[in-house]
Order: sequence, then C-alpha cells, then structure tokens
Amino acid sequence: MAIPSSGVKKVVLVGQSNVGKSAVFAQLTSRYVTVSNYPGTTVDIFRGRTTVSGQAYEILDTPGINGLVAHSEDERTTLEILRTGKPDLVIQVADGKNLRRTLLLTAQLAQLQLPLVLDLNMRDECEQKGIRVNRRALSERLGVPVVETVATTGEGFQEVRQHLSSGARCCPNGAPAVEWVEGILREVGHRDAAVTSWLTLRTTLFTTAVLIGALLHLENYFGAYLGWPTLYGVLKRLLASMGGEAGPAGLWAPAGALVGAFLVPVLLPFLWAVRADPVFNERFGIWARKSLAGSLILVVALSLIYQLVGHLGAQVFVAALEETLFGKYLIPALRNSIPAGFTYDLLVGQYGLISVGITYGIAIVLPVVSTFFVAFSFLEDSGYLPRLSILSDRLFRAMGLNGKALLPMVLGLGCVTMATMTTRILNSRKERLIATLLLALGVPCSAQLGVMMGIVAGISPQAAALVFGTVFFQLILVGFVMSRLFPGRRSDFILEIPPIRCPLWSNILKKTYCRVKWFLKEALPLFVLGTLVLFALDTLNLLDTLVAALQPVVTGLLELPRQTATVFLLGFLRRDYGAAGLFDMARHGALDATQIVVSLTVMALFVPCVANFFVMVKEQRLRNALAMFGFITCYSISVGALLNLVLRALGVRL
Amino acid sequence: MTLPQWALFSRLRERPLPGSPLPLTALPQGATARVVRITGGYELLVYGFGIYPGVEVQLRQKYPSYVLKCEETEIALEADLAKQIWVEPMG
Repeated sequence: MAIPSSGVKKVVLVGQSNVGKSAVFAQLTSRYVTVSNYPGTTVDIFRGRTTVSGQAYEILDTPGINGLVAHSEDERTTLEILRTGKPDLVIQVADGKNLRRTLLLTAQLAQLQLPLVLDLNMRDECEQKGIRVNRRALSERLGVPVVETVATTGEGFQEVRQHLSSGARCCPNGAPAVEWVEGILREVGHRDAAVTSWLTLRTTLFTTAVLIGALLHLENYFGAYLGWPTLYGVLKRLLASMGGEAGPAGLWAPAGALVGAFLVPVLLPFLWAVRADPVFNERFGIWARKSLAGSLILVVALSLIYQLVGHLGAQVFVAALEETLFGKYLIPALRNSIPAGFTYDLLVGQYGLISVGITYGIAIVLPVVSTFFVAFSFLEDSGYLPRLSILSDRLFRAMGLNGKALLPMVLGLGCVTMATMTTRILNSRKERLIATLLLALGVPCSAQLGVMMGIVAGISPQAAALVFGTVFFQLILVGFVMSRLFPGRRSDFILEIPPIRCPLWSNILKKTYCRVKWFLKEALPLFVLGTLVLFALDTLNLLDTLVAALQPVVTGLLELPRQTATVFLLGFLRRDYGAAGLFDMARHGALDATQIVVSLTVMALFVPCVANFFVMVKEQRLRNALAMFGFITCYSISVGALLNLVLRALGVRL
Repeated sequence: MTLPQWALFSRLRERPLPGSPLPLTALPQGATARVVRITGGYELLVYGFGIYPGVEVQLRQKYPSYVLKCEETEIALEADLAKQIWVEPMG
C-alpha cells in the first residue's frame, strides 16, 4: 500500500541522550529499534510509520542532543533534521526527573519555532523519587501540550497519539533561556519530602547475599590452587553420582556443575536484589564507579561472561550441536545417502557446504553468539557500561581518547561493523580515527570472541590470560603510539551516568532474537559463500598453490600447520568464520597449545572482515581505510611471530 | 584570601572557605556547592548537561573521575574540566 508522501506528516523525536527516545519510537511505530541504557545507542536516524485516525505519520528517531550546538557527529545529524527537514511536529522526549535540563533544551527548541509536544518520560522513576510536576501549569507556561509516559510499559501513549493529530502549537520564546527556565521551575516543580535512601536492613541483606555469591563464584578459581574443595568439584561429583555422566556426550554433570557453581551463586541473588530493592541499585551504581569496588565488580562480571560464553556456550552447547547432532547424526546420514562424486564433495566433502559452511555457522558460531548476546544485552540494559567509562578514562587518555570511547569499544565486542558507526559519538576527528583503527585491529566481534573463549577454555586459564592479555596490550600500545603520531587533540571527558536499572527480560530476549536473526541473515550466506570459494579453489587445484604461497609466513614465521593458511583466508571473509576454523582444528588436535595461542592472537588482531572494511571506507574514506588494512595485516603477523619466538625460546608450557 | 604556604600540605587546603569561589577540584567529596562561573571556553559544553551559574551541584566522587550530581543526573567529568567549574560551597 503506497501512501503519497505529501500526505504523510513528519514527526521528529528529539531529546537528550538516554531519555528513552528509542523506546518511545518503538511504542509509537511498533518497529523494532535497539533500546539500551547508555547514552549513544542511536547514532543514526530511524524512520517508522504509524497511522492515527486515518492520517499517516512518519516518525523519526534521532540521536540525543544537549543543545543546538553540535559537539559530535551524531548530534550534527539530529540538528540537520531539525533545521532542514521541515518537521510537522517535534516531540521532545525528556527524563521527567531532570526538569531543569529538559527545559533548557525546550527553550532552545522554541527558538526554531516548530510545533512542539513535551513528553516527560520515565514517570515511574519520578514517582519512586517523589518528584511531581504540575503538568497543567507547565503546559500553560510553555504554551504547548505536556504528556507523561512510561515508554517501557506503554503508559500514557494514548495521549501522545491524540496530540499527533490535534493541531500542535509552537512554544513562544521571550526571556533568555536561563531566567525563563528558573522561573518555570519555581512554579511547577515539586518534590516530596526526600525519600530517604540510606542503607536499610533489606539492602544490607541483599548486599551480603551478593557478596557471598561472588566469593563462592571466585572460590572455584582460587580454591583449586589452595587445595580447598571447590563448589564446582563438589557439585560435579554429586551430579555424576546421580548418573549424570550418561547424558549426551557425558556433559550433563559438568554442565550442571558449571551452572550451579559459577552462574547461580552470583546471578540469582544479584537479579533478585536489583529487581526488588531500588536502594541496592543505587548503592551498586556507586560501587561500580569507584576504583577498588568497581574493579572487583568488573572481575566478577568478566568471569561470569567467560563462564557463560566460553564454557556454557562454546563447550556445552557446541558439543551438543556439533559433536552429537551434526557429527553423529546429520553428517553421517547425509554421507551415507549421497553417492560419491561431485555432489558429495560439494555438500559433505572436505570443503562441503554442509559439512563445513553450515556446520561452522549453525553448530559452532550460533550457540556462541546466542549466549554472548544474552550477556551483552543484559550489560547494555543494566546501565553498567557508562560506569566502566569512568574506571577506564585514565587508560583511554593514554591512548589519545577518553572514557567515552569505551562505549564503541565494548560495542565492538558485539559487532565491530556496528561499533565503527558508533565512533560518531566521539567528539574529535583524531579520536574517531584512533577508535576505528583499534576496533579493526584488536577488538574481536562476538562470535570470534566466543569461539576464542571456547578454545582457550579448553586449554588453561593461563592461555586465556596470555591471548587476551597480548591483544589488550597491543591495543594500548598502538593507541599510545597513534595518539602521539597523529595531529589534533583529544576532547574532554564528560558523560552522563544513567541509573542502574533492572533489565526487562522481554527487551533482552527481543534484542537477542533480533541479533541472532541478523547474524543468520548476514553471516550464514557468507559462510556458505566462503566455503564455496574454498571448494572451487580446491577443485581447480588452486588452493594448494595459494597455501604454498602463504607457507613462508604460516609455517615459517608463525610455525603453524599448513592448513592454518586456509583458516586465515576464511578470516578475511569473516573473522568468526576463521575462528571457527581454528576451533575445529584445535578440537581435532591439529594444534599444540603454543600454536593455538599464536594463531588465536594473530586472528584476533587480524584484518577486519569485509563488512567492517566497507564501513571503515564509509566513515574514514578509502585512503585511510586501505592504510589501516595494510598496517593491521603486517602488524598482526609480526606480533604473532614475536609471540611464537618468545614462547618457544622461554619454553613456556601452557 | 590566600592561604599560607604550609596550608598547601594540610587539610586546610581541602576545607572550603565560605564566600570565595573555588574550582570544583578543591571541594571535598560529598560537598554541595553552587556554581558561580565556568571558564576555559567550556560554558556551552557543560551548559548542555544543565550546569550553569546558579545551579546547585553535589560532588560525589573525585577518583578515578569526578562525578557530579546535578538534579537527578550523575555526570562524570575529568579533572581538566572540573578545574574550570568554579563553585561556592554551601552549608
């Protein structure tokens, strides 16, 4: 059904960052956009449609702005829309808790003389804090409609829809912003007697429970060294004595013990506390941004992700899918039913579309990304990430960036391609360049990271520390050198810290579902295509020539088996595909521990995937992108060679 | 009013003097203050976060970054920026 675009009214959602514009957008249009709890989730314009009493509206979701002066690329996008997009209505979405900041922006929007509706969002949190706004008085003073909503539940949206169609008014602007705002605040703001938020008995109990859980969790690591019985060991024996070993691939007991010893003790009390006690949330939010307490929380959080993705996802789920479903049933059944010949080789041969392409995609990478995305969405929605920005600000400053750069870096763990676009929230050109290079160089994407965790989890914690430590150190080193080589200065660190919130399971599941779907749509065809290319090269006997050409580097410099060259070729196409190839080799014993560490490090630092490269070209132009590409290729191999040399010379056993 | 030399190393340096504007960095943790002026060309940047002369802020943390509470928002900023925000201690 085509609606003539002239009849469609354009509605723009604007507001400060992290006030819930995307959540409002999702409520109005029922189109899915990523909603998270950190500033900078949306860096581009999203468009969606809705119809109210026969009239069609185009709704635009925009990146957050702090005023009509842009400090970064994403803010510029929004201002462009406001100035030249000729919107029929502007809805200012605001955090009802921060009326002063809200009105400061309203005062500036008023200068544009556009029809305006003010939406005070997060009403639930206002009520919790005892903040009440006299809506009618505010509406009268502003001269525009004021609505209150809770975008996560949909409360108040009936009214928002009505205002879409009622003739909207512009906000008259007279007095200079600050006096105007202070005047209104005196009239309409009201705060109930302070809702005390000091350590109550309940909060103390919750804190103790979480602390004990965290200690039990960490005990699994250090207990083994001290000769104590670990919770993990005890549970494993208990479950095994209950006949658990008989489960699929004998994994039932270790998997149960893993969940019981590592995940349950921390997560259960934590989730309960975050859900039931707002005071705990506030306290946790404070601890998470302090140096010492924050570092401890970070260690536990990283360890949880490592257990969830590296062990549960990459070991347990992959074993069930790859070894049992694909290895025992699917592939042998296919191999038996297809007669030897071209079709056999194409589908289930050494480089078969099903035996390699689909197996890697569905049986190795899919379980890993799914578990990773659950953990990642949880982190995004909890409001924890901006606190990490505070902790890491000093580190980033050494690299010519500031704490704000943590957001694109961590997002890079989801997908480097997306994160490269998020570098727009950084304020200076120099910062965007450094962040783009570091993302392409050393930030592994979700699937790759998960597969890496899965491989090293199979060797030893030292191997894990060595691989991730080397990559981390390279990031800092390259950032440090780059920040001195490139002209320009870094911008100043100033960032809004959202409150810690209890993530909604529905949002986490929706996000995970969308990301998994995106992965299947984006990656699976490339996996199949890559395999097809390999198959064609192999059939034409070109693969051997190519591998032979790479031999001096692969077997000579890095001392890896010959077939690793094919895996690196796959890495060009998609990094996770390459990682899955390594995973396959490691599982079948084709690599020793040192070789695994070296190849993983090279793969982690290795060239960006095709999709990432295109985004780099788009954001940084072809010349810069090519230069980065060349640098990264040489650099990753040099680091790998050096690492190999050191490990062999010192005779390190992993 | 200037402080004597020895005060540089004593707790006096930390203690706000009533009536004279201080940079935010000189405020002790937990103190509430009113913003007096912003220097160094940062006016517009911090204005966007709701910080301008006359506004009440609370200094909640000094390390690893400065954290201010302004209305119901917490804002993290680095020392270089905090230095340019001049405040008058309250209460």
